[in-house]
Amino acid sequence: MSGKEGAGGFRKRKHDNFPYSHRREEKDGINSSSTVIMAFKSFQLELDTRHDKYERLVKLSRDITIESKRTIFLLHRITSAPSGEEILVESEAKLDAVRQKIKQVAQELMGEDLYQFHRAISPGLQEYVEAVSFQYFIKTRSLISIEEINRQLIFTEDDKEEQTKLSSGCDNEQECVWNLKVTPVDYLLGVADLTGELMRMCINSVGNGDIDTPFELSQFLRQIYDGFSYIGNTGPYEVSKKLYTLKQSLAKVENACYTLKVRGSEIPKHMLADVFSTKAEIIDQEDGLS
Amino acid sequence: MGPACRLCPLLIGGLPFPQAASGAALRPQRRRTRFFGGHSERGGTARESVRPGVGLKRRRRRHHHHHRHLYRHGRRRRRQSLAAPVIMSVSEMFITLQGVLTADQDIREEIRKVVQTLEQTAREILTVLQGVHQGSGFQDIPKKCQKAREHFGTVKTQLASLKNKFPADQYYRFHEHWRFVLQRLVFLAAFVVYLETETLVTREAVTEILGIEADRERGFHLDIEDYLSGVLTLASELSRLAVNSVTAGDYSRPLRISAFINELDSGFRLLNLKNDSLRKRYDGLKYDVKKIEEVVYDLSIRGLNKEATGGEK
Repeated sequence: MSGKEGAGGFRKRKHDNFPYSHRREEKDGINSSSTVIMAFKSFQLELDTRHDKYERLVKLSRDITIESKRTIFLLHRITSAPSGEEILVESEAKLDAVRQKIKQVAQELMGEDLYQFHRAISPGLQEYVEAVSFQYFIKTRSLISIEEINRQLIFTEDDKEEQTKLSSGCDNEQECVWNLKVTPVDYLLGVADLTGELMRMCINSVGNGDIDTPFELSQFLRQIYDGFSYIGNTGPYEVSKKLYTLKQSLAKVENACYTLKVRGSEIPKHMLADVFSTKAEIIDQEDGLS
Repeated sequence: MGPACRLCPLLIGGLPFPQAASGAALRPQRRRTRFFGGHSERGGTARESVRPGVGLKRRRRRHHHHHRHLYRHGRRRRRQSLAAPVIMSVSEMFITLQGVLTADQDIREEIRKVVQTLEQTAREILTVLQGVHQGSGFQDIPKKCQKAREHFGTVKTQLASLKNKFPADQYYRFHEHWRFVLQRLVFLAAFVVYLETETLVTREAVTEILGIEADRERGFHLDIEDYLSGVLTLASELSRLAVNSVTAGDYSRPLRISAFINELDSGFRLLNLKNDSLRKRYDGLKYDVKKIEEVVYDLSIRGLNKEATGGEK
């Protein structure tokens, strides 16, 4: 608030240099209670409220993005970890924390039009979709559906301390249910990002001498690619833009599988790991460049 | 919220045409009735809650029929999972999503059509009002305002039909489509009101002229930024009018316009604007103010303003 006042003061000072300013200030004094000025005072309030909300949502969105990214990094360790169970549990805890943030978003958006503030939260939601679908894939080897994601984003009030804190936000306590719906476009963009993670996972697992995962992944990626091709340019521009990156990821995975197949027939099984650890490095470098 | 897809009741969220992937091309008429006529008997969600298993089965078959070529492979699995929570294959998910996106495009198409007619009407009103800049135009301002107000009747009906093209709670989803024309209409309404009464039109009055709601809760409304943009357009139009009224020999009008614009300027200076399009347009306001002040200066240095206020010839 003080920052805003400061900005206003600065603007006024600037106007003091203006030759006409003196006269105009005088006029301001006369008209300060006129209907126009009163109307603009209410506009000021309305716009400030809206901008503040937007800023809060941007901040939440950034937090969601960061935490989701960390979850993804954590999940990547699963390919080399001795027991995946621990990592999955840990990732679940992390995602729960992200969902708490999303709950705050939902609370901010209560009674508002989601699309009015969509630009503020969209990046965070996409990253969340990426993280949650990655975890889901590791658990079940299938693609999480958008309704499954949305089902996890229905929040009820169960925390006592939060209830007191937010009691002003909801009028009657039994109706403290918030939900946030990921839009289909956010979902699609999140899934498109997921494919990049899957590609990395594939290369990593080849590096670890895992022979089955790459084939599984290539099949899965192919399904997603088919899906995106089916959508084609029906969707917004961003979706078709992702299609290109998706194609590259798929090509990398398919090439890995190809090499696996070709080399697999000539090299004894116990040596495969060595062959692919070198191959993986080459691909990783390419990835870093592109 | 629009009716949900019969196949995938949970997916759709607020999207009204989930069927479009299957329905748009094949049965356009039914799709329309479903959208406008409400979701009486076919509404997916209502039915779903009563008989989750049975309705779903029939729905899936029907949906499946249209996409047989696409998911021949997942058939057996789907049948097994009918009673259990629905597990969709990747291709099914994408088919549903594609349907959602197509539905979206259909809505946008409809909106665009209405907006085009609105733009046409707005141009007509502008043409009528531009007449005041002509030397002879100053005499019959009331007549021109009257004519413009008649056109606003057309605007009302057109906006009413725009309202029906999309679900009421998704205003901001499609906002971009009518943003420009709405700002233009606000300007025109404000101009008419200014010419009639020499006051700034209130937000409520604009919504009344346009036949829309004043606040968001009640449906199709006027966004505050759009209102303010329209008002800024009025300011530049008035600076032009000040110049032309001098040419036409009306020396008192610039003084009144000057007072009005100055009040507007101090009003806008109360706002904390973000660095967006509204801010850019606001930055232009100072030039309008300057222009009018120059006109007033020219008049006063020649004593013409006294002539105007003193009531001499």
